[in-house]
Formats: sequence, structure tokens, C-alpha cells
Amino acid sequence: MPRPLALAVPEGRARPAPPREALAVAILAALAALCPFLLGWISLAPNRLLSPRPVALPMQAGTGIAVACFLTGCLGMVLLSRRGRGLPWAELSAALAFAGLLGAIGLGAGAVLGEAPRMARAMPAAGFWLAVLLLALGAGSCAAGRGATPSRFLALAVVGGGLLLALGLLDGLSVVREGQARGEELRTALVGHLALAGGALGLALLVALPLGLLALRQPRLEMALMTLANGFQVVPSIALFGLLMAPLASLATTWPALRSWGIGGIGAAPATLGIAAYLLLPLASGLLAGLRVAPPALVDAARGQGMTPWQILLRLRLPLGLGVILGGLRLAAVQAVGLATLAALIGGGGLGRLVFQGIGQLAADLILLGVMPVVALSLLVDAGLAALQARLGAAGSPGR
Amino acid sequence: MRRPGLAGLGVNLAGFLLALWAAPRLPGLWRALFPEIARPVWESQGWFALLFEHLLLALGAAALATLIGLGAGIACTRGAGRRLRPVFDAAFALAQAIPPVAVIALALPLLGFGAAPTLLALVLYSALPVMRSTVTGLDAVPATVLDAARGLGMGSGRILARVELPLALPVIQAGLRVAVVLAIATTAVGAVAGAQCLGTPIVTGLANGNTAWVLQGAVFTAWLALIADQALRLGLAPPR
Repeated sequence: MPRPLALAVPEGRARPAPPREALAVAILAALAALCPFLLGWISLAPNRLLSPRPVALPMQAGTGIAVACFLTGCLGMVLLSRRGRGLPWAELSAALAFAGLLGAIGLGAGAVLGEAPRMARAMPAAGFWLAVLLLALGAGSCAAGRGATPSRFLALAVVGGGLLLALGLLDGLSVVREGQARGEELRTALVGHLALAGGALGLALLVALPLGLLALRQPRLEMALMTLANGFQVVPSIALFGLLMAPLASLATTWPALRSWGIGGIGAAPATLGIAAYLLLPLASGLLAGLRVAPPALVDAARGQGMTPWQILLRLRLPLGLGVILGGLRLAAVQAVGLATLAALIGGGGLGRLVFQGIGQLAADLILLGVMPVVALSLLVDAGLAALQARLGAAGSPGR
Repeated sequence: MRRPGLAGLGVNLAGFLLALWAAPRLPGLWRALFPEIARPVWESQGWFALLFEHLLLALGAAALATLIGLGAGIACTRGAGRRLRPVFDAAFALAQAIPPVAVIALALPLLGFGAAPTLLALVLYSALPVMRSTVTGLDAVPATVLDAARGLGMGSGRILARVELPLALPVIQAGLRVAVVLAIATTAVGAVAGAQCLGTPIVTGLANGNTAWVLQGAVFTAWLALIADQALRLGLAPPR
């Protein structure tokens, strides 16, 4: 249908209207570009105890290039998001800005420390943190049309950050120094964290898959399963860990043989059990909703053609509902990574050990060292599974 | 069918308060359960004081979050605010991927020990479900209804107050319920950052290897969360 003449834009060449994300991205990018200039790039603390003060970013060739990258990236976000097709590129531009920002404070910290006393520590200032948040929100706004998980930005930002770290450009930052001093501890914590989250996810899958399949045909089992899973969700995680502690400890005292399997009041076993309890709801509800995506008429038709229940499940229900099922898995995996942080409270290890140690000493670097991998892990897990969901879910559903 | 639910809630609440009152008065019970612990009774603070602080923090944060969430939700469904909606969507997605304990831990060096970091995390995490449900509810108001209201000569403010918000209320209430339950649960985690609440005995007990304190704190924290969930299910039940 031709557009009514009255609505045509009278002046200049006809341009496609900017997408609805354009204004949001432009504002966020502009604010992000201003933040470090207004609130400071890096702070310097004379030693570990005194509080940090913002200092000027030393201008050298290296920092100059990095700042230029940062500003170019912000400008790129504004310009690229003017066109709908440019949005993915605007997201990559945000990653460039992030890498430039990180490089600038890394190089700046190195230069500042060169002239400072030996005990001095350099750390990112408020402007840096705010700019990172705004860049992430900007990238998320670019991706708002497709589920708001800026997987491109995250992938590139993590790779860029890792590259800068590997090149030694970030060595001046106090959190990097803390990480180098505690290399072994950090590695153990990371492995422990992955084992906790993965173990809990596996355990929850072992319970949720068979029960979910059975519940598909038995409404009473479904109600029981959902009531239980919902109940776990309501109980605060820290309380559930506490509740598991006493019974497991007394079990282990009654049958000492259990202790050799790692079952006791404290440790990784109760933590894994507690985390798994929370994953039941997203997994089971995702599975049940996914298996019900297939229209009943279609299931009836398949039954009429003589397909067995297994064939209906594998060829009809599973492919059609894959996107929804993966959505449940994604939610569960992200929750597992976050909950594993609390495992350290009951001696379960993981990155939470560093976090709670840092809280105990009120050591910001140690807290950061523990929290940053947790945040990066959950963002990566979320983005990875979202990408998988987009690919497989779309392939499985007809007409798309 | 509301009476039985209400009675159940009343019994549950009475049991909870009675248990809170009885907990420090039954040293014999705790000694029998935990014979190896020297001081199994939690006596540092009164349970009712902890409950009060817990509720104050959680409900205060939820009220603040409701104001923010409602305001943001209304703002980004009309006029120029519509174009800022991607930011809120992105914030929602980002917050879902970052655990609350990470926010509390990150805010700790900036805001110091106590309730402040917890309050920040609580407001952030509770505002999002309210905002999302406000947007969903307002979006679902049929355009024909809005046209009719405009035809009656109502201004946009009156349409919002008399037509849109009442129609969106059930959805907004569902978001409120999520926000309050989330706030009460997350407050307990705030104990690790020094916030006084029912989670405090858990954290203190874990630090001192006192399983009895952990159990008492855990039982009461979980119980409170379940009561809150039950109460909100009753009070904010969607009309059928």
C-alpha cells in the first residue's frame, strides 16, 4: 500500500527512520564518554589502608591511543545505531570503547605508579565503573530487539580484556597485582566454582528430567513437583544452606562412612545439594512448558499415524519445544553460577571464598578479584546459552 | 474460598511469633539437639528486634522500589519515554545475570558495613520486576478502550489514573509480590555485609562454627519468607 502523501517527510532525501533503540544508545554512549572525564579515570591510594583519591590520567602515546579508541567507540555507537542494520555493529563499537577504556586506565595506572611511592596502589575510579555500566547498558539496548543479551559485546569485551591482561598492559592495577599474588588460590577458586555450579546443574537435571517427563502425564505429580520447586525458591539461599548443615552433620556423625564420600555439615556436598534445589523450578517449568508447545491436535495426529509415545516425544515435542526448554536451562545455569558464590559460607569453596575473605578484611581488591569472575562467568553463560537458544530454538519451530 | 487461606496464614503467623518468643527460653531443647556446642542459645540480640530490622529493611526497600518501578514503568510506556525503553530492557537482562550477592559485595567498599549496601541491592533488584510488570500491564490495555476514554474527553492524566492503572493492576500486583518476596529473601544475604536481620545468627554462627545458631537463624529466615509468600498470595490474589 503506498504511503499517504501527507505523512511523507517534506525535506531532503528520504531516509529510513532511526530504529527505536537509537535515542537510548546515543544518550548512554554520550554519558559513558563523559563519565571518566568528569569523575576520574584512576585513583591512587598511598598504601593498602588509606582510601584512594582520583588522579589525573597521565597523557602519553599509549594512553592517548587508548582514550582515542574509547571515544571512537562511543561515537561509533551513536552513529551506527542510527540505522537498524547498524545495531550489531554499534554493539561491537561498544566493545571497542570498553577495550579502549580498560587500556587507558591500565596504562595510566602503570605510569602513575612509576612516580608514586612503592606501597602505592592504583585502581579504577568511579568514572571508569560508571562508564563500564553505561557501555554495557548501551550494548544491551542495541540488543533489546533480540532478548537484550548483548552476546557480541560480551564475547568481544572478554576477549579484549583478556588480551590486554595477557599483554601485561593492566599490570599496574591493584586488582591485577592481587590476582598475581594469589594466582594459585584464584585458580583453585575458579575450578571449585565451576565444579559447584556444574555439579549442581547436573544433579538438578538428574532429578528434573525424569520427574518432568513423568509429570507431563500425571497432573498430581506435576502439582507436587511444582509446589516443592516453588517452595525452595521462596526460602532464602543462605537459610537453605543453614538448614542443610545440621541434618547432614548429624548424618555424618551417625554413619562416619558417609564422611569419606564428602558428606558432612560443611563442604561442597551440602552446597551442591542446596544450589541444585533452586535449579529445580527453572528446569522443571521450562521442560514442562517446552514439551507442551506442540499443539494437542498435532500430537493427536501423530498418535493417529501410529507413532509411539517415545517417537512423539523425540520427533515432535522435543524439537518444537527446544527453545523454551533451553530458556529454562539458561535461567538455571545463570542461577547456579550466582548461587555457587554463597557456597563459600559453608566451606564449599569457589570464588565466594575470595569475596567473603575480602568482606572480612574490607579489602576492595580482594572482593573485586572474587566478584569479577563471577559476573563475567554468569554473563558469558547467559550469552552463550542465549545464542544457542536463538539458533536451535528458531531451527526447531516451524514457519520461522 | 478466602477464609480457610486466611485462617491458615493466621495459624502460621501465630506459630512463627510463638517460636520466636520461645527460642531463647528453651535452652534444654538446644542443649539436647547440639550437645557438643557450649552456648547453643542465640542471646546476642532479641529475635523480635532482628525480625523488626529485617522487615524494616525489606519493606522499606520494597516501597522505594515500587515508587521507582512504577514511575519508570509509566514513563517508558508513553510519549518520549517510549524511546528509552530499550535501556530498561537491557537493565533487566543485565540484573538477571548478576547475582545480588555480587552487588552487595561490590557496594561494600563504597558504602561501608551495615544496611546501606544491602538496601542498594534490594532496591535495584526489587524495582525491576515492578517496572517490568507495570510495562506489561499497561501495554496490555486494549487500544479501543483508550480510544473510548479519549472520546469521552478524558485527559491523559485521568486516562492513566482511571482507566490504564486499574486495568493493569492485576499484572502490577503480581510484580509487587515477586518484589516483596525477593526483598525479604535478599535481606537475609545482606547479613554477610553487616546488615542486622534474621540472617545475622546464620552468618555469626557460620563464622564461629556454631551450628545451633545457624539452624535457628535459618529456620526463622525461611519461615518468614514462606509466611510472606503465603500472605501475598492471599492479599494479592488475581481476580478470577
